[in-house]
Amino acid sequence: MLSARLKVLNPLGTPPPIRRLRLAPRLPTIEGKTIYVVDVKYPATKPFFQELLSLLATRYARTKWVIREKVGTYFEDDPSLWEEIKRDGDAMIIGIGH
Amino acid sequence: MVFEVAEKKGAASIPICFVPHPVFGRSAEQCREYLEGLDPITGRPILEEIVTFLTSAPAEEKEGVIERMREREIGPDTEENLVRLFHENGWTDGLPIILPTEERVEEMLKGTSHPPDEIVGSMRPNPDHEAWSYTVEQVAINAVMAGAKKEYLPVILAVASTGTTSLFTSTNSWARMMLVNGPVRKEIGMNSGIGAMGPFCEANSTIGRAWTLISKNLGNGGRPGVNYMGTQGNNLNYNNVCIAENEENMPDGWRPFHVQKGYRAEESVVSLFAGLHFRPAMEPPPPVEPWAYTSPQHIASVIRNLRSVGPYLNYSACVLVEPLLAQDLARIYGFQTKEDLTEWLKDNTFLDVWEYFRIYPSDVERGLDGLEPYASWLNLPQGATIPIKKFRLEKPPEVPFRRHEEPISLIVLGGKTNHWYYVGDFFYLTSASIDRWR
Repeated sequence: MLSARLKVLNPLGTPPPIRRLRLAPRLPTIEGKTIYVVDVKYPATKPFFQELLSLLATRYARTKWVIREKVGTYFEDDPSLWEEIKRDGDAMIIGIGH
Repeated sequence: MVFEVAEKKGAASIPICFVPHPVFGRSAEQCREYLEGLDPITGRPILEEIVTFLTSAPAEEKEGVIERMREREIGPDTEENLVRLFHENGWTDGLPIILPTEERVEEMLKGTSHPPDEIVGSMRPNPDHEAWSYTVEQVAINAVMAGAKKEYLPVILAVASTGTTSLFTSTNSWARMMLVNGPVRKEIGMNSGIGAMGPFCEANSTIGRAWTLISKNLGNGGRPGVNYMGTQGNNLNYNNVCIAENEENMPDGWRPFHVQKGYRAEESVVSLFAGLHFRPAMEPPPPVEPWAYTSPQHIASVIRNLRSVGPYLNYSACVLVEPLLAQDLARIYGFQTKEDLTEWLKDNTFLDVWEYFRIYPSDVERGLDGLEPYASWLNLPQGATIPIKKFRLEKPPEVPFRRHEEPISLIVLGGKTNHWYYVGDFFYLTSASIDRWR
């Protein structure tokens, strides 16, 4: 190894700026609220979301739970669903599944 | 990975709850057991955690933009310390590197007429992650690190210009392949003969390696557990199957791959593929006669065996044919063009009809609704087969990826020492002009 000190060039690419988002306000309670459970539809995970909905509906019966499958596959966006949830829902749980 | 993506999308404090992994293919009872259990990360009951997330204020989240600029230079420091820094920061593939000093990068940049600050493209490890952009100089830096010569830079820039990562992140362990066609192969001394896929050629080795370093350092990838999730990884990623087609030893009438894609023969082009593995000519079932390993029927049987890689690849195959075998396929079996052979293979590679329906369950419903050919296929006896040519082209709702319009690629390479071939599950992604980057 050489003992001389040297400079080298940075091998990393240029990341984009991070545009920070403000999160949705939390609910004071879930009672009487409408909460969406969104399945992004990773293959073979439907039973998971059905069980999640079933457990939530049993344990928190005074909350309205609405399950939705996102359009397309897990790679695709679903703006119309997000609009529906903003309009008709109070909160959303989105599940990835794998 | 989840926290990384959330942060980069501007929602670092979004509440995230985990269940044991995987949930894919688990029964309802197993899923219930998971959900009634504890979050493996926080140790809290999962359902209670979900409700807490819905009702408790998250950490303060300020709106605004965070710029992330990088220093162009690193150091000064000793060579030993800098090499260690590069390894410890995950900027290498674990092998020794050439440190990218200003002088070495300047020399590398002589391999192209493009200015150092020209933007080449952007790359991400999959669609969920953020893309990083990069310049000609940044590509040259990684080319130096890989040990490439300046004459190789146009090939490396062409690969980078596609924005295609070689380290695609998925829990499957994907590999990539790059094929070079045209005059540049000879100009820079690429090996398309004996040992074409082996570690015997400086150009093949370092160009392929450069793609890995670019994918890590310029493409925001290759950090295991953060933006690379392949559970076992893939050894092919070390040099990404960097090959050149043996255009000089193809049968008359067989066109080089880039010409098949619409380029002129005198153009130099790189083509990229994605896949997982290769299967050899010796793949079972063994034919009765040894020479039959070289028959098109046996190639079709090996393609059929690719079904083990899963349904979403739609039985894409890449056949790497050795020149002696290519000559026989043309002379003895009468395949006057590559396309003659690939069409024959699509007609003569079969899949059990019920395996088809397992892969595409929505076609069972289509068949039950009377839609042909699925309605007829539902009446086929057990063990009946259908040729892959009849697979549907449009994307079924249960399949994340569309079917590849040309599911079989055919490439000639090797040194005429054996009637040999490999069949990979690699499918074609894209091509890019190398001449544009000279």
